[in-house]
Amino acid sequence: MSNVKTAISILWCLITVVIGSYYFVLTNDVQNLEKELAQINRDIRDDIRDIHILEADWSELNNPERLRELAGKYISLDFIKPEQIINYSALPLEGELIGNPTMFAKNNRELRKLVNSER
Amino acid sequence: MVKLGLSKKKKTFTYLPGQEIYFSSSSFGWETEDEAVNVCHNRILCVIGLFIFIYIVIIARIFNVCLVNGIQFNQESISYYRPRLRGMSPVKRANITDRNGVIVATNLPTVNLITYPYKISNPQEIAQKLSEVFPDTSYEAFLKILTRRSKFAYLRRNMTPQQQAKVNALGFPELEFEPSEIRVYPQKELLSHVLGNTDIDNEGIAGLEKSLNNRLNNSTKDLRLTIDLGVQYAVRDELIKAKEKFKAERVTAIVMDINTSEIIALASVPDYDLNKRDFTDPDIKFNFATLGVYEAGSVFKVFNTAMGLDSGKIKITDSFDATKPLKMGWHKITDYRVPAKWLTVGETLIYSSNIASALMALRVGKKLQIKFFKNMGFFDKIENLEIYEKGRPLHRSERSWQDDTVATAAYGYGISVTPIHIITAFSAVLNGGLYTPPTLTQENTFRKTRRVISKQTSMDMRKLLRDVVIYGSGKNANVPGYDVAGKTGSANKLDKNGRYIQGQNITSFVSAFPITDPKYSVMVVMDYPKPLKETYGFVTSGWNSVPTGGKIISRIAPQLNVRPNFDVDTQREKILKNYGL
Repeated sequence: MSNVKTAISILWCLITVVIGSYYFVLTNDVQNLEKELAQINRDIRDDIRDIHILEADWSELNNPERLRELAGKYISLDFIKPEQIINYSALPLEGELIGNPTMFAKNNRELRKLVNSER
Repeated sequence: MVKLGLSKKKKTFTYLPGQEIYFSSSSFGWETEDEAVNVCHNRILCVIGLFIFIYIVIIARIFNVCLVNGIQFNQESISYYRPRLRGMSPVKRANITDRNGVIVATNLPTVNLITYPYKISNPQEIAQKLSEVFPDTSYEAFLKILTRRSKFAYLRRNMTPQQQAKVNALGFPELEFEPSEIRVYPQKELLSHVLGNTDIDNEGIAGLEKSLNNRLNNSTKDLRLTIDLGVQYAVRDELIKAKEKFKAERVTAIVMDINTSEIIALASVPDYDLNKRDFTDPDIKFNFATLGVYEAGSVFKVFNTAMGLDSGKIKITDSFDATKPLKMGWHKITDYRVPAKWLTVGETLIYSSNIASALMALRVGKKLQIKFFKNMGFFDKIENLEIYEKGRPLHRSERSWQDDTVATAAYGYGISVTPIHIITAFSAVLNGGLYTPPTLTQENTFRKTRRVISKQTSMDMRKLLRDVVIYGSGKNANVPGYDVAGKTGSANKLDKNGRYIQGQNITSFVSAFPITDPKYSVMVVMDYPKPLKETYGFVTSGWNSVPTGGKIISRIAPQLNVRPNFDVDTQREKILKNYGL
């Protein structure tokens, strides 16, 4: 009987030790993870703050007046004039170009450049 | 004394209150003769059983949680662990953005430098070091704050990170940092009159910042305006050029979506850089577009004609005698450069005849005119507009509204309203007859649309006003391809005593495009433009407000994706000609 009792006691002790150790490791892991989470959350908060500041900066950099100045300085872009917007059906028909296939190339500077470079 | 065997005790199943519950110990493998010992054993057994039960429950639960189900998160636990990325703002006051989401007002986190003067033992040294870090503040100024007999003091608000690092490096434990925020406006002066400003504690003191202060403080969700920044820039740019050219005291313009009354651009020049927070000159803070109450002059003929046609008392084919001045008691109504003849309704607008307009109004009558003006919102502050600065119209009371008022109000004298009143009513006249109060934000849900004139009258008005731009005073705004329709107005300025000053005008031009299917309305107002050589000395609207309006339209229409309505054949011929065909 006492053997049985001892066996049961040892079993219980073993279970307790195993569960205890497992619980200890688990708690430790959870604590570490929580620390990590807190750090990540702090980083995210910092990043959000940085993004917020950068958004304001981006908005300032996109000030239309500044873009206008830069466009005038570096690229030769001007305002769109109403006359530049052409209705699709106003474009010449294919038949109208028969007999004058080079007309477009003649008048188109980019195309002319391309033709010359290929020669 | 343990003896195996059957219990001699009689099994009982009913107990009195407080009576010992007795188990048969024989079933657990022992039995004593001593009753008290048996009771002890029983109690111990109970406790052991209880503990075993609890442990089994715990083990079962651990197995259940770890191995069988995994961890079940509910919404609450998720929101605890997951960082709230959206809506998590590092600042307290909400951003303001334009209709495309470009930030026009935002808070930035900064740091204040604070101290507790009663704790300080070496004010001279601290003041000396601080004045080295902040060269714009003198040693004496810092010393004054540090030696103040108070518990708490601000030494510096909104430091830059570099300044903070320098102060930190000084190493005075008496100096402390306090997290703070500062309102910044990345677009500087572009929306100065719309946005208004905040004070040092980030509370709104003008414009939308003041009127929507609670909304901005209580929610971190961006406040989206109806303003389009690109259009706003184009409008403001043209206004600055016009102000310089005509040496006007003040120029203002509004662009409105004609169907929804959303304000696309609202600028008033002179304006100011919001970030400088310079409140010394009240003049530049004046928002003429919503606060400037003035006699609009001839633009009121639009409403007068619409009222006449809508009442049914005037037909579009009717004519009015403009051959001689109209006498109204002691007052005489005359025309300015109008051919002395009988004028049709269309000609009344084209030549802008005061006499014919007055005759029209007199035929409609006082009652209908008052009702119509009320319906158009001319008697009250503009409804539901979010901005704080709103002008109250000046007009006679209904009792003293006599025939002479009926006649003068027909051509815009004797009643003063703001430009925003005029453009909103003008939009209603041309959009099919529906009046919608204007708005500056996309959150305004209180607006109610109402019918003010019939659809047919609105269609007639489109034709009449298109003629004003083709043949009349609006010629300079006839932007090719955009079918502009509009009306000009020039009214004498009033001096401080309420007398008209000859030669000093406030000129207005209110227009809509494209008139075949109106999309946007534009209003330009100039305060006291000067005569130029190229205007042949004229200071009426057609020479200053109208060309400015035309320039604005030709610049913003492509931006607003309005397709120009050119004749396809002419355009094609032009292209073929370009290619030598």
